[in-house]
Amino acid sequence: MRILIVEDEPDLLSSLAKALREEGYAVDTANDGEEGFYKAESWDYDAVVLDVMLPKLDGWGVLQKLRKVKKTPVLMLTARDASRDRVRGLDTGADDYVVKPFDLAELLARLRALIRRAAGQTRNLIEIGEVTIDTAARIVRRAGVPVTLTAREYTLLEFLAVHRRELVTRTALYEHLFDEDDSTLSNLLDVHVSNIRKKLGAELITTRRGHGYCIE
Amino acid sequence: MIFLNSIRWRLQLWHGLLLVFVLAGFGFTAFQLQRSNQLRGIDQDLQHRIEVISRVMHRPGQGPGRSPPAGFGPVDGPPRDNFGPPRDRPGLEGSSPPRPVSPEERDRREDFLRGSPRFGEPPKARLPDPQSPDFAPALRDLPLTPQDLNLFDSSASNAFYYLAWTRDGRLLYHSESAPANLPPAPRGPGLSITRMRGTLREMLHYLPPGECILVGRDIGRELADTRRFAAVLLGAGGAVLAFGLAGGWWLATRAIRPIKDISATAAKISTGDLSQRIPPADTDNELGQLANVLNSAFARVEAAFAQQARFTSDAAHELRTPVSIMLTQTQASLTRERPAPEYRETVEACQRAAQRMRRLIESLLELARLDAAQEPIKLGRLDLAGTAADCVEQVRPLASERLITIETDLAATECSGDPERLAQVITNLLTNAIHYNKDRGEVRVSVQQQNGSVILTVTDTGQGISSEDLPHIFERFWRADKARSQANGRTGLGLAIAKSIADAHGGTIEVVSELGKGSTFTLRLPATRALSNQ
Repeated sequence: MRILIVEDEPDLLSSLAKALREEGYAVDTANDGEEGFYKAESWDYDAVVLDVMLPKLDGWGVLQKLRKVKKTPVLMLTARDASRDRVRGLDTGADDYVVKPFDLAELLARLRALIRRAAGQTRNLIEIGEVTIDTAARIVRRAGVPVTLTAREYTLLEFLAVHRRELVTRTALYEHLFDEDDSTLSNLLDVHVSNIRKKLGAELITTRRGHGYCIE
Repeated sequence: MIFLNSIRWRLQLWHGLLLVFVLAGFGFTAFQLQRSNQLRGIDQDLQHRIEVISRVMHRPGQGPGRSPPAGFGPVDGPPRDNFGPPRDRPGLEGSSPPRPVSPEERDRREDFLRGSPRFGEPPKARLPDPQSPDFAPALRDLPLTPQDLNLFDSSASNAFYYLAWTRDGRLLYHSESAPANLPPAPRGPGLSITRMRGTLREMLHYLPPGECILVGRDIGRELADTRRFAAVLLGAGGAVLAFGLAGGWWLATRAIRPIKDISATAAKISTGDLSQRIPPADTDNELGQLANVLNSAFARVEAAFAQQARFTSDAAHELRTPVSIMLTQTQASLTRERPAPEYRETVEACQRAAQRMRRLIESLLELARLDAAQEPIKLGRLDLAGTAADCVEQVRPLASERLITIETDLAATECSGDPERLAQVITNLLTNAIHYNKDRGEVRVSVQQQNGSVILTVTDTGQGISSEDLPHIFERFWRADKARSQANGRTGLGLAIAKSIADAHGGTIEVVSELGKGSTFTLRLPATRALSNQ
């Protein structure tokens, strides 16, 4: 899952990015509205965390421009909790709203819910045959037995599971799993896939040669 | 008696009192006029009869030695010497000679002398037979005018009676209808006495020789008429009073309704929605003006409330960002064990956030103090040029980082002010001028005295301020770029504090700006103790 954070407070931005990366997200950052809009427009993020008070172009402006071209889920971060602001945010096309100061855990839960909803899921438990994925606890079980996956393996599996029965191209996987600073080599993707197959069964992920992967 | 405090009741009370007073005065006057008119008419009538009778008693040519008509007086006969001619009534002396009297006229004269047959108790004394040749011989031959004759018409002389006494109080004559219970004629000092005795109106007249004539009339009917008139007046007055009170109540209600409306709306506004206004029904009248005054007061209160609310929400907003930094930093770093440098980073970020909060809180407290005027400005004599020079030296390192030059043109001035606070203003203007300047830009500072003012200007060659932002830049938390730029510790309160300090000194602070070319801030302080005055 790849997420964009648009925030002009360096200390807030760095801690948010660190926390999200540790949660296994690929994180891109932007310091002002213009940069944020440019990035949000050029990549298919799974979610955007957007501050309202931004230099150059404020959060409302970014959201308004973005909604004309993309449906990326947007979580607004604001220091104002006036209901007028909330209504405005939701009306402009924000998918959720978090008022500063917020709890990191709450922000993460809201982000997960946002991504899940965008993929058409309503529960945080995905079942694929005998494999179950708890997206809230980030735990994968095979026949009820927890299986240990690395963060990368987990995000790869979750992304494929969320887009179940869809063909996920290698490009899409790179875009969603690795952020702009990652210098991951293409073959690493294959390594992760083969590791998952070893742990959860070879038949879980099918390879469409030349196109990508899919969980049936 | 709480209702007496209500304007409506008080109006009604005063209105009622006034009405009663006016009506009573009017009614009393009308009654008195009517009564005195009536009495005057009766008195004139009585007077007329007295004149006629006295003429009868002192007919010219009838000497004092002549005996009175038989049976026309007390039974024992009148004293002869009482019948002298009137000495003081020359009008009667020169009467015209007698003229023939018709039989009808004679009847009327007799009627007159007898008085009304309808009147009172019958007299004790018997009257002589009217057919007798001695009957009222004088009257028969009197030279009466037709008007006088009218008096003897029995219909006109209803209830009329007369009596005459001799000088020593013996009853000389009396009409048939004269009440028998009359006391002997009193000796009055004047010539005429008019009096009321029960329903009887009587007039006593003393003839110069001493005889006394009393003419009276029962005016019961007239008195009843007068009472009826009084009753009608009273009834009409009562009706007018009731009508007036009802009208007054209606008027008071009408006059007070807008006041009640206004006070009801005002009460609603003061307890709740400050954005409501009193509907100005008619702005021309006094109540419309009152509504306007109240509305403008409400507008000011609302604006003050809105400003206060905005300030509070802005302050909360400004505090939220550092708090969220501290929260996310600490929460993120506590999710797992980390190496020491990472903790250090977290602690440093928290420290930065805390320092930012401290700056903000200090600024807020300073503004609150200036607002409440808790700490009066310590006015001391000071040279603004010296203060400005100190401030320039303080910010010079900041300017040289970005190769910005500061030029000064500082003329020695003297004004009164708080050096610390004014230095704060100047430093704020200077750091703004540096912060919003371009690299290798220029800042010019000048201090001069002009027309009783000490003027400090700070001009930069920066980005300038757009005309939309210009009116707002002294507002609290206003930032032209709408974004927090906490890196250099700006709270968005600097210019607001500068303005408050300038205001507290009785000065002004203004700005002119051209987008892309730069801005000039002008601080103007009154030079209360100018050098020339020392």
